[in-house]
Amino acid sequence: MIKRILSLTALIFSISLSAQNDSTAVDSQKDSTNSSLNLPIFSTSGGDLDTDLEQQDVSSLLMSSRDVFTQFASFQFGAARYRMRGYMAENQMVMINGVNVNNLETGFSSWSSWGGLNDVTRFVENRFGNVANRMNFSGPGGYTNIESKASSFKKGTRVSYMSANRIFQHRGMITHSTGMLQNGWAITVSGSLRQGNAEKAPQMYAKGTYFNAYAFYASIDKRLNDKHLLSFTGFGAPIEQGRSGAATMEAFEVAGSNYYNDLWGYQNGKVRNSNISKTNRPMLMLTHVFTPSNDTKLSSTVYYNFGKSSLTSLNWNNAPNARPDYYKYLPSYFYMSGDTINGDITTNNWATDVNVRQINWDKLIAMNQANLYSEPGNINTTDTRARYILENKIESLQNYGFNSVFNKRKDKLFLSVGLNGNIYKDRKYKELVDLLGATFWIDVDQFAENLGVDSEFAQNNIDDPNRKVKEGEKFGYDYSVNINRGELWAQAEYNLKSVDYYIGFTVSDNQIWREGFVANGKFPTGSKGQSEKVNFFNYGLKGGLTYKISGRYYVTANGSYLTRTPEAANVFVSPRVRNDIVAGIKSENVLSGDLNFIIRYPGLKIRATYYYAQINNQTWLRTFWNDNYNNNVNLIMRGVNQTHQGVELGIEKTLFTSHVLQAAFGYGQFIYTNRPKMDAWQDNNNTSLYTDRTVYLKNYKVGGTPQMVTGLSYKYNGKKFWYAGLSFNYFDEIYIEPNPDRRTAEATEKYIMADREAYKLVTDQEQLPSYFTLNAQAGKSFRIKSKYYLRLNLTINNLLNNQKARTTGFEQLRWDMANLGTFDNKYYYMQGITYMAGINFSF
Amino acid sequence: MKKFLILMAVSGSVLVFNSCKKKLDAAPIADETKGKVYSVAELKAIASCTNGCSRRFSEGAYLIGVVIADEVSGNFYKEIYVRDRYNTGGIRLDMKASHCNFFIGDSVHLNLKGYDVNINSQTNMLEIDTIDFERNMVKFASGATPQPIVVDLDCDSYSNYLCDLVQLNKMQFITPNTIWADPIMQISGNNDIRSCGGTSVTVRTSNYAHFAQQLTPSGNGSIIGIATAYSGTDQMAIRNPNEVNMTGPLCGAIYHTKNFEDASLTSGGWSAQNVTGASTWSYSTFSGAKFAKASGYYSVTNNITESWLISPVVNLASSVNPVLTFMTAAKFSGIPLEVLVSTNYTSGLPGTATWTNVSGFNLSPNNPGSYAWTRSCKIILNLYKNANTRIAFRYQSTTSGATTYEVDDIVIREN
Repeated sequence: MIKRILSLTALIFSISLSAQNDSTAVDSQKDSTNSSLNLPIFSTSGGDLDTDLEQQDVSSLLMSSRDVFTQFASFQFGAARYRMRGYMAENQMVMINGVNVNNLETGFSSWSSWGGLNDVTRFVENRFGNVANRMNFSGPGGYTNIESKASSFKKGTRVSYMSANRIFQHRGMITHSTGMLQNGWAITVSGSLRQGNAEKAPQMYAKGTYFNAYAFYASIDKRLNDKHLLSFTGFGAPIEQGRSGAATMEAFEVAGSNYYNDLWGYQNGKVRNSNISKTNRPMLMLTHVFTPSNDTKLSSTVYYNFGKSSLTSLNWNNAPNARPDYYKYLPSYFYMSGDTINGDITTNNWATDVNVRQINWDKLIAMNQANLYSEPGNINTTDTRARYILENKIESLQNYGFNSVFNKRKDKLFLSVGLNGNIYKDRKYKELVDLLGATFWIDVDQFAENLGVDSEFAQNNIDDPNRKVKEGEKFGYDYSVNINRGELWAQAEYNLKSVDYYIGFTVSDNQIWREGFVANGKFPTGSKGQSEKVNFFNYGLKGGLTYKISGRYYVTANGSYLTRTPEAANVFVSPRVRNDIVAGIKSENVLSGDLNFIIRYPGLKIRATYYYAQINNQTWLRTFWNDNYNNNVNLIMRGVNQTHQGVELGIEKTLFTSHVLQAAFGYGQFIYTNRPKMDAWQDNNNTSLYTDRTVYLKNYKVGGTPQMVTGLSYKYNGKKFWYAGLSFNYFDEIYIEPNPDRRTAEATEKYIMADREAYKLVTDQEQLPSYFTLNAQAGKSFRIKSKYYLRLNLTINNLLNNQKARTTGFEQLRWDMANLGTFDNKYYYMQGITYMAGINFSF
Repeated sequence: MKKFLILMAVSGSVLVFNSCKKKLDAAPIADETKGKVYSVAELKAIASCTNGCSRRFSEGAYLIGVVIADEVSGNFYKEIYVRDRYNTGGIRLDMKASHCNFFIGDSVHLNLKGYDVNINSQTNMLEIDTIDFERNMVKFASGATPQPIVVDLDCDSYSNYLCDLVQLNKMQFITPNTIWADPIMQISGNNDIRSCGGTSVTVRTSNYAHFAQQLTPSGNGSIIGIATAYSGTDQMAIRNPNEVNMTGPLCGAIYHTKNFEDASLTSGGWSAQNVTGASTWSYSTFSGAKFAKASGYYSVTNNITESWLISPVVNLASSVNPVLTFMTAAKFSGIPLEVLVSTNYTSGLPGTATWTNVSGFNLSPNNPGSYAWTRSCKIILNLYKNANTRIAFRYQSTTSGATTYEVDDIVIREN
């Protein structure tokens, strides 16, 4: 009986999950192999990676699981940009076939690399927190492994279509798998197409955006004999996306829309987006699995991950700022100085003239075409020098890696040992996309040019001075970030009668260096060639214990301490132009632990967790445009410490087999815990703007995620394979990430007691209003002639169409010490009502 | 039961979190009670100090005031003017960069620590140089409407109001209908305005002013601006042409002017009449200024003297509102200079006619005195609208006191 209930629950679950992400899985869920050892164990079916490509965070990408809290985090809290435990993505390891695919530079996993391949990325083992991991050494955020080999798929074909209004409008997918054939071959191929354009779909929220994506996948397995399996997997997902940007409250207001997007404008009557991101980073992997005996396995993979990602944006020289919501173009700029006449005019222009509130491409082109350019002594009447261009910041990746894991079970011991390494090179440069009607762009630094020192100083490339850049050519900067990395790790798990425990360690060595391919005039000797090679030796230890009070009650405790390489971009003072290394750069370290109490009955599941993590000695580098200097300024905070602690509670109660009630509650405290030091450098100056300023950051909240979430849901599972559900989600304790420059003595000591209010405006941290969402799901499966399956599902999010909830925001790094209002905080609004309706057919 | 326990545990831990909600770090704030708040008058005193005293503030000290001129109209660049909260005057704050974002009516304070306060040798204006406004200056309120101080050029010394917001009434441009400044040739504009009493002030306008190419008005009226100076010339910088209201009728008739620019004491019909002692009135000059001078100090001693400087006949018969203005500069104690009017004097000693003393005018302070040129204010001559009106300055000295008086810019005109 219990078995029946369980399997029914599993079935119901798989259907309800499919409602969320359209990768319906009546296929039996593939449980992780070590479920008896660790709890909770999450197993999922596929990923909806389309919700937000910009936000590459842990939580929104966590796929389904049998853990109630994680389910809510994945499917209900994602729209609020909830990050489980406040962890950034580098805390969670993402693997494909056991290979760590977190980006070596950023620590982030780029889920978009396999976006749209939902059919073949459904078998996910997902374990959050400090856990045993038989494939790699993972840290405080646990791991996600996508098992995607041809031989893991059953024979069959799936065709599906989805209609939606979030990022894309249409998605088509087709997948065919041969299953393991008699001759030892297994082949799976999959492809998809996603498409959306706000111009053709007024129900999409951010105007000017569009989305075009393809994905392809092929996997070929060959079982050589009982002991050897050879597996090839290759996939890629070219994505092109016209983006939307955050804006200030004023811009939303005067534009008359909470979905105001400053990144597009009309050119010749047609909508054109200035920020177009393109990614295409395929991955090829070849795996050899050697199984000499039932309890021994050696799996080795070599892989190659390559391709480009890019983002276009406007650039200008000796011309007014091209962004329509530049602060000088907003009414407040006039009102602030008491100029109500121009303030009113500007307000009216914003409301009535689309070419004022959006990019005026035609004007930029006209200004370019009017800018005749003559070199001294050589009058020219045709060639125009671009004032505005559209440029593309390109990153071209080459990452070679190998990964070898040995697993051995002996009685109560399960031993895992791994060795892996990478040779990683990411070349970054700018390319000119569109001269916007001009004849050329000159490859110089406009600010350095204004300094009036010798002409070499302003050159971006002194070997090719004053070069006239044409469309499609490289310019600006050109360098690579190189990382060589090797790691050895091991883990031992013991499985005793009432206690399970594991211990593990890792040691790794990372070597990071920059190589410049052009000599910049400001740093003629420090920009071309290789930088010093910075070495980071890292180690980690972890361990955990499960105490089985009974078959129904468990207590688990886990902990880890590890050091890790800072984000590569943070190692260099000004990576775009020179080789200098941030002074005293060191590895960051993470101490974390959690305590869980788990109850498991067939009709009742409960998990309660307390977690604690210290992430210390982080280096924080941000670059922003400062029009005072007409250049990028790099803020570098050193020795940043933060603590994340909190509780999670998930409860699921099944009543009369068809009514499922779920509740999730998370309350966290994610805060900075010390006073880091900060330096500031201009991109184009050898002298720092300042060094060693103390940042009074202690107890400021980490921004970008609600720190308090509550979810309640009810689902009804009908007898004939249909279901319907409703979820209520509440978000609170949402903070704006603080700009460290505003929390220094240099920024505040001018204030006196009498102006506490003005002081607080500078130093206080903004909290966004709490809000809730109501989501609904429904679906039905048909089994036709006992061999075809037809599945329909529908998800509606934000049922009440709340368009006033701000999910996140940020303090601008460029700020006006004398007048905060000049550079107001920017925000993102949650989309109003959205839907996803899917149909899929498998045979 | 177990569930209940867990719920209890969770809510308990939430309580714990809430109760240990941590206080936000506080970047330092200054305690103004530890620093003195200076008035502009006090700053001027510090800046004027010449005995090797320090003009730099080494401790926290403050200037609190309201902005009276900003950069919005483009006529001021990298500078603002502030009037202190004690209303003792204005000061020029030179900014290290433009766009400081302080606007007229903003209440601001400046931490003076590390700054020098100076009297600029070229302009004689009180100022603080190269202020890092981002670090040291705060706008703590806005919306005040600082009013200009009405300065009467017939009465007041313009230079006493340097750096403050002033209003001059009954002014007119000497060359109206010219551009304020030339943004094309990049030349700042100097346009002189003159009071009906003949006192002129140069309106100096930056070629970056947004209104530079507008034309100066051609009527008579009021003008508001910051009182400035350059190399001893009184100047004014307006904030906005809408504060220049010169559309009224131009100045009326001038019945008589005596300014001694021709280096003559008696030209134009003036005469000096000795009643007692030696002649004391003479033409004199000092560092470019030309004037009449009277002194009872001669032969290395103070003498008993009385002598009059008498004007020619000024026909005020058809005047409406005749007024007299002049300037004096004095030193050494003695009997104050008198001003008298007669309608029946013809020639010779003053005793031959009837003279009436007028009062209610300013004289240069004579004890101790430092030859400070002082404007008389308007002396109303309504009682003397006669075809035979004359005015006279009566100088007297004794052995115990002989003030030296200098007299200049004597004007009788329609008010």
